[in-house]
Amino acid sequence: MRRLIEALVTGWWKRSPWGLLLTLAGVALGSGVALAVHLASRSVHEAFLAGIETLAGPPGHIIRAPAGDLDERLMLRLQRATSATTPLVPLVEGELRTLGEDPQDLTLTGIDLACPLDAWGEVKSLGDPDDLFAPAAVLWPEDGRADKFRRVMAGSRHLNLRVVARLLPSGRGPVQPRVLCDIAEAQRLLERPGRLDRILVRGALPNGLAEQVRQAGLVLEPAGSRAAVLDQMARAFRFNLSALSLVSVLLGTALTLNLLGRSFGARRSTMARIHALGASRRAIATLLLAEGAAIGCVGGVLGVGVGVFLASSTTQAIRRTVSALYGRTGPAWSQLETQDVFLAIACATLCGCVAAAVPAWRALSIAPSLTDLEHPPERQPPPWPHGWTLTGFILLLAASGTSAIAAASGTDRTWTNLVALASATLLASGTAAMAPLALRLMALTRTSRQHPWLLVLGLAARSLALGWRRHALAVAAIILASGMVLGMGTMVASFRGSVAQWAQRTLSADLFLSSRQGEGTREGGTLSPAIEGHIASMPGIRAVEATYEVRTQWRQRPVTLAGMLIRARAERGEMPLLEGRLPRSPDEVLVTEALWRHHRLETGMHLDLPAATGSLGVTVSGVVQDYASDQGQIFMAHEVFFRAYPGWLRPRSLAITLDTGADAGSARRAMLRALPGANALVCRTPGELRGEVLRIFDETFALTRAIEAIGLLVALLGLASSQASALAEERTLLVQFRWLGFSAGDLLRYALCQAWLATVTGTLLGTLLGLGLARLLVDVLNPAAFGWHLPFTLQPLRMALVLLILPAAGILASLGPARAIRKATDPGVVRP
Amino acid sequence: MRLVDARGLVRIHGRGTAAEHRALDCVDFSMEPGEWVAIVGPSGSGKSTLLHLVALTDRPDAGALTVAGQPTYGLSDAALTRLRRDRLGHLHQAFHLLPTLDVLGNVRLPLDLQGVPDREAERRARAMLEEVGLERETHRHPAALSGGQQQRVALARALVHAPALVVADEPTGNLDRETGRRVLTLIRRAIAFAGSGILMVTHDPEVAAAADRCLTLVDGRFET
Repeated sequence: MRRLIEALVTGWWKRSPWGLLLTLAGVALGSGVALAVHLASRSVHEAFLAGIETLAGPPGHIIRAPAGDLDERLMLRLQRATSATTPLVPLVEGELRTLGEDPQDLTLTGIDLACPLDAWGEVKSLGDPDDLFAPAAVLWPEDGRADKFRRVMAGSRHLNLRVVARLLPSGRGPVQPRVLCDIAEAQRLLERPGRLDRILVRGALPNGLAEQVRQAGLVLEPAGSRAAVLDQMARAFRFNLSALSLVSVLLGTALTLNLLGRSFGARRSTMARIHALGASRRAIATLLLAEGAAIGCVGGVLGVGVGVFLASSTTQAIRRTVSALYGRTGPAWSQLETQDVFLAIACATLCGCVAAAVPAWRALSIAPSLTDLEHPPERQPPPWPHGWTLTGFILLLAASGTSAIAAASGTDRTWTNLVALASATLLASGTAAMAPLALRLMALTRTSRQHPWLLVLGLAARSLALGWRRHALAVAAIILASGMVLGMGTMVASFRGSVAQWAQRTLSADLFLSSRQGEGTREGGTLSPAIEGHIASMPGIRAVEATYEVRTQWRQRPVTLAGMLIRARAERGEMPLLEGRLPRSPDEVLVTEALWRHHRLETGMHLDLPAATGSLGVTVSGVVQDYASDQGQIFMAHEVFFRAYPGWLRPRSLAITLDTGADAGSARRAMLRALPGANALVCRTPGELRGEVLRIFDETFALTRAIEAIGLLVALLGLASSQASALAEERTLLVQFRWLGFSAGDLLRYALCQAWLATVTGTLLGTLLGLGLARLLVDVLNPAAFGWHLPFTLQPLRMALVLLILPAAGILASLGPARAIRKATDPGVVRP
Repeated sequence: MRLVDARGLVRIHGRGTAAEHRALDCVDFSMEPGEWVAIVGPSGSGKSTLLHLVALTDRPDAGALTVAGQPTYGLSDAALTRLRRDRLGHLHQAFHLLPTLDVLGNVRLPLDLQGVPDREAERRARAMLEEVGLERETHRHPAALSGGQQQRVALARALVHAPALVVADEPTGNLDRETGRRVLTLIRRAIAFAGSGILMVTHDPEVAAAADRCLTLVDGRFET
């Protein structure tokens, strides 16, 4: 057996180490991407779980103001109104930044330190427990440093904090580094005396509390509700990643299949001799399967390394995105567990076995022979791939059927996502199944024989047509990769274009003022009621428009009610209507598209909205395009808003219009100098706001680009390996070319023409697939996942770039095999 | 001017290794234009090595070789390729037709490589196919032809560009006796038509007897 392994396996791989390395790289990349996506998804999931526990410990509720913070006297009132034993936990938070060479952002959380601190981590006291309540005493997260004092910055103030205990992470503790301290001390340090951000309700909800909360104009929601919504929002993101990783795994398997197929072709004579000398076909087939498994296993081990590397960078990117989009709590690096390693290696081994199954099956029918075997002659003319073509047509028909079902399934997200996934899979498989037909059609091409390049191109096209079985897999990989890039790219570009256009249209004031507190979170902060009048009285200011917002729950989903000057904004073109008209009477409102789709609203429909005064009856007059919130917003005139929330006088933001010719930069500086507490305010120009919107957008989709690049890389590796395999099989033909008068350069051109034709074919079909996928993503998945429609925007430049770059990359990828075959067919070395 | 003029040709395989073998040992040999020379000899005597040297697909380790009036010593790969393309034709036991091209495409390929205008190439290829009796098979693919037909296509391809010399390696080795005879007759007629000389390696005494001159090679030297 040892001799058999040496003769058939190790000896072969020793002779072609690059082939082995290429195979291992394919498996490692495929399994690495899958592992990275698994780890990153788990990080996101754990972040949401941790978010829930961080906010409220084990299942409970949160009491918060509709927007901004709340007065701590409200808590005392609630406590008295319910029962003395109601476990209400007040909480205040603020942002800190450490001072020094490597500044770190931290959250300072003030809570009642007498409450159990399990949800925050394990406390390791550094001295007397009573020190916890000393001035500037904090519990600092364990960071390996023993400093007793830490210098930090809160807003623009420098603070000197005294570390009296360490906070060790336990289980799924808070993922954002937090500094804990007593709530009174936190209010003092953050200069927010008497203010709270939230009140946590631990355990069961006491009787009457819900009614008391409503009467106080506050919002009561289950602790998990926000995280659940975030989880739902992130699902589309994770779905996207998983689909892309699946493509990478498939391409990795295809690469392995191709390389093992090639190695089988090259070892046919050896196998025939070994069989003639007495080794059974079954032993040879088993050996090939074992070889595939071993390659998969080693590739899987390498893939774990690739996966860990990719996952750590992925998690960083997701963390930035989630923090920017949904709140300060982003996912942390999820530790690699033993079962992850085993799973990755097992999957890679399975891929190797699957890839080796075809060569092993062919080995079962090899004939014994002690002479060198010619490659089996191709049948002439090459057969048409009727089976593949029929399969492709059926799959494409099924894809169009399922996409129609997905489009008709409306707002049921889970069902729509499932059907759309099935449709995308059918579409991709159907297009890939057309690769043999596209290659076979090349036999019909006629090129001039007068130009050396055209002569070679014609021969290369005929060779591809004749050997479509050898090339179809690589072309299918290119179809999938280019389709994925174009489909995702078109969707993202359509999305980005819509957002940019919307931001351009809706941000027409000269300056926008908001609170720095809670900046970057969906809740945000609010402004003092006096600011609007103060700014309006300043010289050079023509108008100030305040927007008031309340976040509340409606029909089990979060919704934002916004009071604004609707007609003035509409006159400036800031209210792009998708349906209906502007409000004409005081009880009419506009709803955003996301809300309209989620709740299947119609114009003229009567809604009962939650209000501080009980409920507010309004009528939907129109639907407005809006990409600010995928949870939905309701826009109403100021008078309608104050009818529902009469005491809510703190604006969320101010839109400031300057006198004609006034300089926005100077006006901003003057305004911030004149306003009290200016360091708590953020004043941005429309350009800065648009930049911020697009920055967040680009961060969200940066990851998909990285995975697209990996998909393309694996496809190009597949092309290189397929070229090497095809050229090796065509060696006799190529030597014959040399005998007939082809120069070594002609052969190089021939090989490069083959690669170019294969890539162009793959990319053209991939373009069709990409357009189909983009349609599916834009028209079906986006409305279902986010609740808004996007105008489908063709990307001719991107398509042209892909059509130019991918074939060029294909040529580069096949330079190695082409150069190798040029040497290997030196007529002095090999004779036909 | 001699068609082939070889002086003191030496070719050593596996040089510097334990398996070093002197395949040709100071071979002198020449051919006149239009001459048919057969080389016979036992296996391993160096027949194919000599054929490959004359076919310009291999280079001698020592000695001088002139083919079609062109000394080959020091010629670049590109120059050898040009000489091979323009002045030589090839005929093999295994036919070695290109499976990707039909009969007409195979036959006109040497003309296409020389840059002969399209119509002229087509006309000459059809004329050569007519000469070998395959004018009705122009659009069939090689695998659809019998062994004899394939060798006739190979012969047409070898002669279509009127080479000065055709090198043939066991051209009837894969054919039955009757077909082999017919092909030999055809070869004689076709080289007369094209005005080419032919250097043929064979084991078959009957084939060797059809040549103008027969040389026997033993252990890398010609027997006198």
